[in-house]
Amino acid sequence: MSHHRNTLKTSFSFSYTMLSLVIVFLFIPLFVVVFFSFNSVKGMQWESASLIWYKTLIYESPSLWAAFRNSLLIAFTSSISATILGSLAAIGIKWYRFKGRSYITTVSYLPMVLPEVIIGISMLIFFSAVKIRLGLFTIFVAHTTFNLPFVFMMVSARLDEFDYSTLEAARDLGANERQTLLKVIVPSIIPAILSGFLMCITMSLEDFVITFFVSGPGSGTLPLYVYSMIRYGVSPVINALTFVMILGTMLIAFFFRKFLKTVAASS
Amino acid sequence: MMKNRRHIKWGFLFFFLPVVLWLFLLIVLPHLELLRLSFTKANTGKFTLDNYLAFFNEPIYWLTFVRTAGYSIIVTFIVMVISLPVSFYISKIVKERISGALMILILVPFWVSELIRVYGWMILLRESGILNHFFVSIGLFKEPVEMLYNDITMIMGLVYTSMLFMVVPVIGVMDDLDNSLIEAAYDLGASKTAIWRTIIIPHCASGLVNGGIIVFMLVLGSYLTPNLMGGKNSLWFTEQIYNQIILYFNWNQGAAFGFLLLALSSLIIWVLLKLTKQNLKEVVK
Repeated sequence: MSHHRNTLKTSFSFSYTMLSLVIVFLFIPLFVVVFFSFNSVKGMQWESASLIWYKTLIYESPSLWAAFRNSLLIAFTSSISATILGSLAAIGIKWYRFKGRSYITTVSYLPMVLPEVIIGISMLIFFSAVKIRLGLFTIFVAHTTFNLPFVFMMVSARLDEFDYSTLEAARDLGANERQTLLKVIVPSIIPAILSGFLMCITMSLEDFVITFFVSGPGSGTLPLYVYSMIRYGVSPVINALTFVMILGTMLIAFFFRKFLKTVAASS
Repeated sequence: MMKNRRHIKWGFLFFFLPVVLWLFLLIVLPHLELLRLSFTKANTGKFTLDNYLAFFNEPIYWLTFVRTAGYSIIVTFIVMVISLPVSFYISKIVKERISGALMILILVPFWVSELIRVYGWMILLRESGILNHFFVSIGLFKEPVEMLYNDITMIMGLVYTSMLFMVVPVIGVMDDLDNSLIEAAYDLGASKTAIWRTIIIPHCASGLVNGGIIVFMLVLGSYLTPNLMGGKNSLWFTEQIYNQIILYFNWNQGAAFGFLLLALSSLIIWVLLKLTKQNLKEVVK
């Protein structure tokens, strides 16, 4: 086997070259952004190492932090509502048989497959038709809508592999419908619900296009702010922000993995 | 499955009412409104086909549309070509432990938002960017050259932002390919191109189609990368929609464009799915 792997290796050196190139290609822009966050001047010529842009980021960027607060607020509120709506729908679809189930499933997948621009303009037009002022509320509604299918999908997938004999066991042991639901089904899908929630937070924090259409004055999120900064010029504060965000994402991913493992082990 | 379920009305409402209302109000209604707008005249609200006719009568509109579709197909194809050898190496050649690490290495850049990744390319390629500084200082360029804002850069950017969505499904199917098939072909003297053509690519077809659909949908509907990296002459169709809605405030025209984009993406996906006899639900997963 290992002998064969070696023959494969030498004979497919092209694949190796491609992989190396792809990895370099993937990391170059990130490396450049992070590297120049430590430059002491604004231009793209290296002067000397300094933390001045981190200082500016922390102390002198009030509008950036305001945008970040908007982003966090919307990420949490929309993820919570999307998680509740999506999980209820997923459980309901499994629990009840009725005509029109497949319609609900199809429509709930729609926000995932429709181009973002179209969701954005349809919501903009809708909000203006029912005369809701664009702002944090409309962003919250839009984010809940595009987050919903991801929770629905993840919880449904977990329910699909659920061992239904445990339900019969619960019933045989005298559990009523509500007890079965709360004590058997819900605990087993908690990891999926949590993963769905985390997915929503990420999607919400990153979304640009839909937010772009449904945000009003003063309700800009972090991606909108970053876009306005990088559109025409160099902005080293954004470089510093990038490095902080990369570190933050890695830290959160690490802790969440641990957390999920503990949850999975205990249920 | 679950037997002997009692149908309790309130429980049913509790599970479905919120979601059904939400989806109806925020997905179904807005899209119906969009459809209605696309067939009506601005201000008067009378039925008209003008919005769709304008698309065919103004070359700039349908040219943008055709170019967007064509470039999306090219990007999808490039991503396929790159993903095959990369996935092959990760899935078949390195040891399992290393392939896990390589997988993470490929995933990490996608944790950073698209905006930032595009920004990285912008500061590299701009006229006042890093590459220009470098090339001028070593004497390769006499003066800085604008490498941003053209079609090739934009295509590269789109390949960059969508590659992961091809690599993951292709690795998925590549893992199922029996190594001994390749080894047997190799021992029997098959050339590398023959192995790729007759064993590896046919086996990976389903992964390539799944990845292809996702990449195509993403690229066709993308806004940021063409907007930030493309030039004046590489207008993307999504930007055309944005212009109609936000700049010219011509919602009826924008709505019609929206539906044309939707029709095109649905059509191409439908054709791909029919060709490979799959359904969309499997692909999205």
